[in-house]
This record gives sequence, C-alpha cells and structure tokens, in this order.
Amino acid sequence: MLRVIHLSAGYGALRAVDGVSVSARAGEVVALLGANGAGKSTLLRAIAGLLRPWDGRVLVGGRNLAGWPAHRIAAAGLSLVPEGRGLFPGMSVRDNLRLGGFARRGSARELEERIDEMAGVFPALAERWDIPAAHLSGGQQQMLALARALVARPRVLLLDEPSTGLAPLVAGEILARIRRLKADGLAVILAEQNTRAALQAADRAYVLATGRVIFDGTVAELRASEAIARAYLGSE
Amino acid sequence: MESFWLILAIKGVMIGSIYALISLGFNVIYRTTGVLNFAQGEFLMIGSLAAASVHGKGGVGMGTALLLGVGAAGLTGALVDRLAIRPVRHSPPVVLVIVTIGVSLVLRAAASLIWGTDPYHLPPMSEGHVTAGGVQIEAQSFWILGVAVACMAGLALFFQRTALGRAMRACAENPEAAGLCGIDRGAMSLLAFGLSAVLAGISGILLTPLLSMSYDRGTMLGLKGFASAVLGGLGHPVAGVAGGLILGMLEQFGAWFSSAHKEILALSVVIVLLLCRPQGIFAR
Repeated sequence: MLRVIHLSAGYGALRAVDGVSVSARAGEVVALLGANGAGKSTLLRAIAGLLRPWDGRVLVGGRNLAGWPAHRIAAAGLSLVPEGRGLFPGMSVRDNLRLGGFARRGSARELEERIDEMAGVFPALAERWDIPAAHLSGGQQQMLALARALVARPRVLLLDEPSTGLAPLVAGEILARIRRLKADGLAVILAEQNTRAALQAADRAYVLATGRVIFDGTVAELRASEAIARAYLGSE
Repeated sequence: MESFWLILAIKGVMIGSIYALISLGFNVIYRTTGVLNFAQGEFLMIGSLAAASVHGKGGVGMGTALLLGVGAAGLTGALVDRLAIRPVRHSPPVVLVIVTIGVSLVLRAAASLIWGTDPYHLPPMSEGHVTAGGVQIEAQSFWILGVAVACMAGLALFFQRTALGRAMRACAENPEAAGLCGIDRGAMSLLAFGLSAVLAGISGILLTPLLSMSYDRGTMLGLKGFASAVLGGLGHPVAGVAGGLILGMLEQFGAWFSSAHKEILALSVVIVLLLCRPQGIFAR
C-alpha cells in the first residue's frame, strides 16, 4: 500500500534522512525504531508532505505523492498523527473530529455518522464531546488524534511517537487500539522510542540510525539480531 | 442637555459599529493567516469609491452600485492575497506586515489614478429620521447598526457552524495540523482576504453617506479598525467589536471637548488603556 523508495530529506544543509526505503502493506503494522535524532520524524514528515523531500518517491497505491503539499497527500488517503498530536487545542472534541474529515468526499451526514462511529470506538471521547481538546488528558488527546486521523478513512496511517508522555497503562491501550487497525486493512507505520511496546504491536520493523536504515526485517529477526537488540531494545 | 448626551452616544455607537466591522475584517485575516493586514482601510476605500463613482457618475442604480462596490473590494482582497501575500507566505510576520503596508501605498496610488483626488459622496440608504426621546435619529443610523449586527451574526455562524469556517479557524489554531487534515491553507488565506475585504467594503459604503470618501481616507479608518481590534484583544473578534464601540464613543465624547482633536483624544486613551493592559481589555 505504501512504498517509500530512496527518500532523502532534511533541513537547510542537514540531510536528516538519507536514501531511506520503507514499505507497509495493507493490514500490516510496521515499527520504525531508532534513537532520538535518527531521522524517524523527518522521514514521516517528508512522507506526509510537511517537509518537501529532496529526492525519492512516495508511492501510495502505486501513485507517486512525493513533493505534493500536505493537504493533497491527506486527501489521497495518507494520514499522519504528528509528534505532539497536532490537535486544535481551542476547539471541541467534535470539531476536531469534523476537521479530520475535511478532505473526505461525501455528504455532511456521512461525516457525522463516521464521527458517531468513532464515539463507539473511543467511548472516553464521546463523554467529552463538547470539551476543548486542550482540556483532555494526555491519553485522551492521543486517542482524539488517532480518531481524527481515522475519520478520513485513510489507507495509510503514520504515527509519530504515540506513546510519548503517557503512563505505561495508557500507552498500552493506545498500542492495542493500533493493533486492531490491522483488521480494517490499514497500512500503519509506527515510529516509537518505546521499542518494547512498539514491537508488541508490529509485524515488521525498520531501525534507523543517522538517517539510514540499518535493519529491516520481522520482529522475530530483530529480536534474534543481538547487536541491534542490544543497541536499540535496551539491555535490561 | 440629556438629549445632547444621547446624541453623542448614538453617534458613538454608529461610528463604533463601523470600527467594529473593520476590526472584524482585521481579525478574520489575522486568525486565519497570522497576518496583520494594514491594507484593510484601502479595501474599505475601494469599496466605497467604486460604489460612489458608478452611482454618481455612471448613473447606476443604488442597489447595483452597492453590490459592485462590495464586489470590487472583495476582488481587491483576493488579488492582494494571490499577488502580494502568497509569494511570501513563508516569511516571518514582520515581513508580511511590511508587505501589507506596501500594498496599502500601491492601492492608494492606484485609487488616485482611477478616481482622482476629489471626495465622493453616496446618498443615505433611506432618507428621513426617527424621533425618539426628544432626539432625531437619522435613518442611516439604523442601516449602519442593522447591517453591522447582521454581518457579525453571519460571521459568527459561518465560523461556528460551517465546515469552511471551522477550517479557517483550524488554520489559525494549528497551521501544520490543518494541512494534515487536508485543509489547503493557501485557499483559506484567499478566502480570508476576500471575506475581510468584503467586510471592509460594506463598512466603507455604510460610512460614505456620513463622511464622504476619497483615495486617502481609508488609511486612518483602517488604523482605527486596527486600534479597535488591539484594544479588545487581537484575535478575539467579539472583543474587537467591543473595542470598536469603545473607540467610537471615546471619539464622540472627545469631539465634545474639541472636534479638531477628537482623534488625538480617542487614540491617546487607547494608548493609555493598552499600557495598562497590553493584551487588550477583554483578553484573558
């Protein structure tokens, strides 16, 4: 569903992502691991169009979206939940969700139905429908960010550090939610510093270091690869 | 004596609601794009002169003239966004402010070429007056108040209830996330400039029967709209409306002391208020 081929991107003269190729099939959760500054966020931002790639291709369903502005990429079925969640803090939970469906084709009634569906999936949000997003707890904000991305019915979902700043129990709940997206046929790329948790949700993993892919394989292979495991999974 | 104060108050509310409308235009652009548009007064002037010239010299009917004036203002706003703002959209705010000041100079020069430097007039929307509480209130006052209230209510509904209005607010709250939601920020900026210029055009047309208009009168009015927006609290449209009413009142009561210095008096009070509350009177 998503194939990123030889993508390079960066800021100014700094090449933060250097010829990276990653992919995710429909119904697959792929973990993107690596230390702080390895290029995970830059890669996701370049794929989603927040940052213009210097080189390479971003294929979604066979179409090359590299170089498109973010709003057109979103309309083409690729959603990014950015680091820091990217909510509209002063707007209500419901308005945040409505905005998630902005680029979606279809009637206003269909959008409201889709939002009501989200209320069923995330009951904690449904209780706080008219509360500004800024007043939600960290976990609820992350759920709202996820729900807002899903309102658009994307084919590809990119998640940048969804468990950051959350209590382990809440983070676990979010990751369980993400695992369940596989059944809907989404292709998910999950960037995480919390390696242990990410690998529980993922089928495959990439490890990035200084902007390059240094490991590419299944979760089992990653666990078996001692050097990588020691460096990136923690030794405890 | 009482009726004297009443007349001042009525005039203050009337002028104040025009300032309120201009401040709304400021806030529409500021909230959507983060740009402080100092060409707002020129949008007003263009709307007014376009309507007055086709009505007076072109002999076009009043209704058509008003529509043409508002349309000319809106079109100017849209062109300014496309030609002046869009090419430098990613620049720091200071640069954008200076660009809008440049735009205001260009628009003033263009207006003096098109319409000359003589003042234009528009007749009031309806003649006559109403007598209430011992004072005569011109019918135009009711037009001003009615149109201003209708614009405010319409704008509030637009921003709260429609998908486009929400999308414009989203651009202000979190531009990057707006893009991720599929919102085209360039299109929202175009819409903000167009809408804001339409509001300015409406204020200009409402004002012209009272003050007459010429190519260079928009600037001061734009500044007063800006002062109203800042006085209430920039980015808070309702507070800006209150700011406009306060400024209008201050001016009228200032005119009671000295009509030549009413603006100095009013704007001095604004400066003092802002020294005490830099974030605006009503902003938290």
